[in-house]
Amino acid sequence: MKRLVVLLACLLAPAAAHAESPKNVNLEFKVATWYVPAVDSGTFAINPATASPYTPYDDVFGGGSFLLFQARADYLFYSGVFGTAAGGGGLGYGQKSGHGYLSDGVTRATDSTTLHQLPLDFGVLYAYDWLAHNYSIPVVPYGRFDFVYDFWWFTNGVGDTSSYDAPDGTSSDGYGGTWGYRLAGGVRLLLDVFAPAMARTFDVDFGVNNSYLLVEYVWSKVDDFGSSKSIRLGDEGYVNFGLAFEF
Amino acid sequence: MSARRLLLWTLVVLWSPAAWAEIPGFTISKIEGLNGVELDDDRFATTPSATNWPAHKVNYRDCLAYLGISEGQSLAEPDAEGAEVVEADVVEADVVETVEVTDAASTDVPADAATETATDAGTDGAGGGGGDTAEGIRKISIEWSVANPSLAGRKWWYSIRTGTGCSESAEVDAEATETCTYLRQKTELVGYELYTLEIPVTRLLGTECTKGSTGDARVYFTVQAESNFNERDTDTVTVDYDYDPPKAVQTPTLEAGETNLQASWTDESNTEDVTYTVYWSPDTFDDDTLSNVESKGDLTAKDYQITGLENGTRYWVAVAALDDFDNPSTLTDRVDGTPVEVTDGFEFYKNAGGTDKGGFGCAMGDTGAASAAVLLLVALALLATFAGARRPATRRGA
Repeated sequence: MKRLVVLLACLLAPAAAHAESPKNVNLEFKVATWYVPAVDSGTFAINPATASPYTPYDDVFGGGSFLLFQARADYLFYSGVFGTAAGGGGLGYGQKSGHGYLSDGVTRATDSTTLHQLPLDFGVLYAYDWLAHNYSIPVVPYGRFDFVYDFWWFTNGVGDTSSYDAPDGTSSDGYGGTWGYRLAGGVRLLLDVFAPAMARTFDVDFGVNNSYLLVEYVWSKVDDFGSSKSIRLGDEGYVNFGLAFEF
Repeated sequence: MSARRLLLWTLVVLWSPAAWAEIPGFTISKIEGLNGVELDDDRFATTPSATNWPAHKVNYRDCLAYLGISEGQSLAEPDAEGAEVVEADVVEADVVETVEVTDAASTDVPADAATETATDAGTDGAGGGGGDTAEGIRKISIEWSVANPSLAGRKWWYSIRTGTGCSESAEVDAEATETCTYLRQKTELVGYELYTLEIPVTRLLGTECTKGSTGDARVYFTVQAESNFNERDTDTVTVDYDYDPPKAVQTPTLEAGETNLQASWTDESNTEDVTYTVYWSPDTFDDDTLSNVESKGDLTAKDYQITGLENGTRYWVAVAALDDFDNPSTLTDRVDGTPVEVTDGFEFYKNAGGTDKGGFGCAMGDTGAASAAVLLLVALALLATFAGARRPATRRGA
């Protein structure tokens, strides 16, 4: 009988040692690559020099992508056999600089001009992580949906926020915010599987239950839900890379 | 070496403090210029609370101002007595020292000595070498004290010297030399007092300002216990001077922008740390008219964007380097540039027919309204789910 008690104690001890701290929050740090705001997809006047519509983003900023750095926090409100569901929000920042034009409209100025974007988002996340946590399959597919409010502003050559005075006397501010939404799908690689001892230490010392590398494909439409009077800042296809931690 | 001898050596070493250690509790409480000398406290720290304390720097322009002379001038040489003689009465000419008793009861000093001990002399300018103003000889006053001399029933002495040949290890009554003269001969230290030492500027800076010269002038304060060689400490106040300006930088180039000019330059001549000052004006200018010109200093980069200009107006721009004594180099050649109108990103967007008016008003309308309403409903549903959800207390993990 005494031996049986000792045997049971030995079997149960490792499980007790590996007990995790409570898990409530998902924290992500990621960077968007290949993000190109869809400014030029709006309706613009015909450029007499090319006989095709102006493409302001391309003409001033040279087109191309820029890095959009983002941080996000989600509250985990379900975790079980069906995976994990969470809701939360985040913010990001990115900018693209180019050079303005002299009054002839052709010659590039030495003055720089910059488009700044600071997207705020809030939405939900779903990840199927049950297999990862129970069968050590380190790949976690997930998807998310977010509403986005994208603050934007242009600055001129001296760093001041731009403004525009039309010939008819009306003026426009070179800053604003545009609503939209964003869908993303991707996979997370659970790092704990590769270094379980380190993962346990991370949990004991900092309360981090799980650490992931992530890659996600993003589709976004940021144009005040189809308004023709708004600058378009969505992008129908870019990729985020980042790290995620569950606390 | 026997153990006894070793022990004796150890005791001797431990017993003898460094002969030229700093004076315990020695404090300079204030330095000020007298008789027309206005110390520039950007460089010449005047109180211990100054951020640049204890730096006392004098540049070429300061030197001219402190001596009260113009470029190329020099003051009369000190007369023979003042320059050569090391006898106390003469050497102390022009050096006036007062003692204010802050706690007379705590000292044994006779009342007359406590109110003012002055070596007279010198208000007639003898030995001062010039620098006189209507108010008198140009001087610098140093207010100092020894906060806690351990009098312990013994007499303590102090003396004050200056010169290139002074030694910090010299005794309080060491013989004066040609290169180390007394500002104050051996005098009894009365204790917790505030002393004021007035030094003619010429005793520190000489009688002229020679471009290209650098160095320092030191005032040595020595305190020594009566009949005890080892109980002697010296503190110094150092005035650094540098009359060697940096080299001029290369003439800047200008790039015109909207209400701005971007100036950039190279500097391959100066190896020491320098900062740059950019000057600009709609009118041309030179070294003598810089006070009427707008400028931006303390630049470490070799470019600067001049902003706040008027489009279409021609501006002249020049650059000077400054060393850490704020000696300026000669100005570069003046170059001109004219700010021009530039269409920035947002203006281009609007000119091209962009319809966003900016601001934070709601632009949802036309085709967007329906989608917005649907998405808002979805958001509310999600929030409701979120608010009502109850999750397990613990999770399974890795």
